[in-house]
Order: sequence, then structure tokens, then C-alpha cells
Amino acid sequence: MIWKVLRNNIKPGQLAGTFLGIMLGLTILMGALSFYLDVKPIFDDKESFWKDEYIIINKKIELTDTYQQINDENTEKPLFSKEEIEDLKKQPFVKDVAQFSNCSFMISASTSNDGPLAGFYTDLFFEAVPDEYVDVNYKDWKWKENDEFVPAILPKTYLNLYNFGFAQSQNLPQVSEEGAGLVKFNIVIQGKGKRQKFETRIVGFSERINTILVPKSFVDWGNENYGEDPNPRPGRIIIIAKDPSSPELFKYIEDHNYDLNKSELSNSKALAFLKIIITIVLIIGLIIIALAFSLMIISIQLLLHRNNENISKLNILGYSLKEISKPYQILVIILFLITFLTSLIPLSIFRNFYSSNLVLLGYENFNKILLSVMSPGFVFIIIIVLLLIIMIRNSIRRIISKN
Amino acid sequence: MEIKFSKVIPAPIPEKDIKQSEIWSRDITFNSTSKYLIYADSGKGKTTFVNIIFGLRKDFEGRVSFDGKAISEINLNEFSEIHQNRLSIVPQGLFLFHELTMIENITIKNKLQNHLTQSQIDNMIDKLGLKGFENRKAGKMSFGQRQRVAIIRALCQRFEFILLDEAFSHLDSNNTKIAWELIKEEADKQNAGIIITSLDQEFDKDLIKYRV
Repeated sequence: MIWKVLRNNIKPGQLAGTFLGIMLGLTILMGALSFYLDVKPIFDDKESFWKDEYIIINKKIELTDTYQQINDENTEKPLFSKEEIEDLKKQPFVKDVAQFSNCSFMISASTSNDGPLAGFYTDLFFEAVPDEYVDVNYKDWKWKENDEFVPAILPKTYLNLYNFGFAQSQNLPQVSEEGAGLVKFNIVIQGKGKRQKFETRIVGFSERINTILVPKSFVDWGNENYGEDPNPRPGRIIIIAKDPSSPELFKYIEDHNYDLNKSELSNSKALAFLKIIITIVLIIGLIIIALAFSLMIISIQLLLHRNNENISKLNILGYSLKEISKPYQILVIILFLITFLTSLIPLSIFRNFYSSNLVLLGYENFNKILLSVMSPGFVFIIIIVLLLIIMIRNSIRRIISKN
Repeated sequence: MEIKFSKVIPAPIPEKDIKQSEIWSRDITFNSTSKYLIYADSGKGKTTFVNIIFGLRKDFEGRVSFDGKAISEINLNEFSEIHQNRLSIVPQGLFLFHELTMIENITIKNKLQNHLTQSQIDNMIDKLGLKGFENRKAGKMSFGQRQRVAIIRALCQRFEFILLDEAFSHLDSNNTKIAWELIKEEADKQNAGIIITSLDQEFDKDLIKYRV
């Protein structure tokens, strides 16, 4: 019966307007969030050896570097100094920095005279990174002193170069990844007037890193015993970024004239653009909600104001602030619950639209994300409802106190 | 219940009237064992007096207390509680809901405590000559009829004091008599006091009289 007295002057048009505004804002908000969460994994390359937030950088090599190095063998090469590495570590967008280890000794590889690729011989180099950064499927990625066998990882591009360039033009047999893994190579390392033989096999191909990788323990041991420099400075560095798409990271790399893998860069840049666009959409959603929220506040204030007299009468009869506020608070809760549930309809239509397109591109499994989108949306609604509930109570308190 | 006025001076009353008053700027106690008549001509502050007690006016100097507790220290929730259980009122403005029917206007009060049974309410409606008007909107009733509805409504609760602010102004003498008897009967049943304001100082000679 109190509701009969308090519901006077409710304007259905105003309620519907508020309802539509909040629904629209909420749909945009949850839609943008769900699109971002769905699309982000696609930008993060999960298939590589490297975890997604790794970025490999090196110093740019300019024409002048080449001239100087030709003219003077002792010219310093563009390697990273300790100070530069320390500076990198201090940057807020960098979680950690790992170095490539270079070899400062000579390496040659050859095949035996009777197996496949018989008579093959080449000078070679190795590089290494700390083992924990090699996310390789090969379980024996290790080397210790007195081991004769050294596992190696080659870039995928080397194999392609051989298969589609070299093998085709020279009429040599093409080799599969498994096939290449079967070939044993003899390795000879030399330096400080000594030499030692080893054996190696390709245990995997990397999609992202352009070097011949061997276990770090082998490179360290070789530098120690055969190298001119037991601790050669790194030419390349792995940055473990907090956020590989952060603009500060790009700016730092630009400013210091460093170089990085362009395809990673474009991936990260695309993700950065996506983030900007989604942020804009989120802001638009928030603005719409803010406007709808103010409309809601104004309509409630007006409603309370128009029912001013009845609210006072109820209070005089002995109805408490709580009892008078309750019907309005229930109205708000029901309205927002309906708004939230209704906004799930356009949200799922939107998701079906883009996810069917993404499925065509070979990406699936979006189901879990809907819940993670709904819960922030729901929390958002709860916050708004709480604010309105408090506002209603305060306004009614003001009306009653004015008597 | 003891209602105490200590040197109360309400903001809107002219100084001349305060001097003539037996209540303003005096120390005076109203006890729920007694019945009081507050009389004066129009505009001297009878309604102000009732509204101060009921907590509807706070613009006064001095101190008003219920059983020793100053009403300025009583918060909104406590006042709701007092309005439900200790103080009943027939305000001069009646404060009925015009969009509700007569019976709804009574029920909305009675259901707070279910103080009266439906037959007790029906009995009062009958006594006060309102039978047949149960489903008429309060807004469509005459002021005299509304006054009687407000009286019944005021009796739909426990109280220690009932405040009647010119509650019989639009009633004929017969209805006034019936209503007054009904109120006294209910107040006696509850051991409650009555404070009635009136233009007529001869309203009931058994009352303790004060001129505002």
C-alpha cells in the first residue's frame, strides 16, 4: 500500500529512456571488453619457443660500422655494454633482460663421408640463451663437460632457405624437419692453440629466433677454455616486457637506435592500436552510462520531489526512513537487473557475429570468456545500484528532516 | 511519559504574544496521566506548539524533552519509533492521502502495528457516521468527514500522548461529542494523556488549561 502512495508521478518515458541508455552503454562496455579478451590471444603467438612477452633486440648496423670494421679489425662492434643493459633493466616496462651468449672461439661443422649430405663442410657459429628461456619440446636440452653430443636448434628460415632455394636450384634432395634431425654433424672447435671434436644433431626448429642455438653451458665452457674472451659482450638481447604492446617500449627502442624483429613489432603495434580503439570504445560506453546515470539520478530526484508530500505524511504516520526508501530501492534494483539481463542479448549477438568470423580464421574456444565479461559488467551494475540506493536514502532523509 | 518545555520561544511568534502566553518562555510539564487543553485565538501558536512536540518544528529556542531526553537529540529513526508507539496526532492539516480510499487511509496506519482489529475499526467508522464511505477516495470527502477519518487513524496505534490540533473544527456538536468520547475512552484504556488545542477555552471543563 505504501507503493500506491509512493509510485505517483512515475514517468514511464523517463524510466524507459534511462533503461535504454544504460543498456546501450553496458552493451558497448561489455562488447568491447569481450572483443578484446577474445582477440588478444590471437595476437599473442603461442606456438613459438618463446613466451609471448619476449622481444629480441639488437643494435642497428649502419654503413659506417661496416667501413670502420673493414678498415680496422680492432673497431668495436655494435654490442651491448653493461651500462646499456642495466639501463634497460631499469625501464618500467621491462620485467627482465636476458643476454645472448656469443662464442669467442672458432667452430666448423662437417658430415662424415658415407651418410646423407656426405662431404658437407662449413665454418659455423653458435649462440646461447639461458636455458629457462628456451621453451623447447626437446627434453635433453642440456650439455655438461665431457659430453660429446651437443644439441642444436636452427631457425626455421634456414630450412626453408635450403629446401626452396638451394636444394631446388642445385637439384639436391629436400629435407623435412624430422629428416634434418637425423643427420649427424661433426663439430670441431678451436682456439688458444687447441682443438676438440664434438657431435651434433638438430633437435628442433625455431620460428622466431634467427640463430644457431646450443645449450648455454656449452658456450660458456667453450669461451672459458677455447675463447679469446671468456665473457664476450652480447650482440642481441631478450627483453621480457611487462606488456609487449606498450608504446613506451617502442619509443625506447627507437630512441636508442635498436632494432627488433619487424613482424613482432607489427604484431605488437597492431595490438597497441587495438587497445587504443577498444579504450576509446570503452570510454564511449562509460560516457553513455554516465549520461544515462545522471538522467536516472535526475528522474529519481524529480520523482522524490514530486512525492515530497506523501513521503512526509508517511513519516508522520511513523514509517521509518528505511521503510519509505525500500520501494524506490527495489524499483532501482529490478530496473537494473532487467537492464543487465537485457543487455546480454545484444552482447551475445555481437559475440556470435565476430566469433563466427574468427572461427573461420581458425580460432575457437570463446565460451569461458563470456562469464569473465559478464562479471565486470555485473559488478559495475552493483556499484551503480549501490550509489543510487544511497542517493535515494539521503534524498528521503533530506525531505523528512525538512518537515 | 513526561513532556517538558523549558523556556521555549518559537521563532515565528511575536514578542507581545510570548509575554501573554502561559507556555512560551516558561517551564511547564505535561504528564501523560493528565488531559490538557491549549487554547488561544488564531495565530498565537497552537499548531506551532503541537508541531514542536511532534518533532515537525525545530526552529525554537529553549529545550523540549521527553522523559528528560531533549528532542534535539532524538534522531530520525527514534522519531519514527516515537510516532509509531508513543505519540499519536490528529494534525490540523490532517495529512490524509487523497489518492487512497478512506479505508486505505486507516489501514496504512493500522498495519504498522495491527493495533486495531477490522471489527474495531468498522465499529469506529460506524460510530462516527462514516459507514458507506469506506471506498471513497479521501480527496472526494468533505473536510469534516476527513477530520473523522484522521481521528480514527490516530487511534490505530499505541500512544502515551495523543495530540489533537483543532481536531473537531469542522464537526457538528454531536459528532464532536462522539469523537471526543471515543478518544478519551481509548486514551484511558492506554493510560495515555491528551493534549488538545482549541479556540474554545470552555471545550471541556475537566481539562487542565493553558493559554498559548
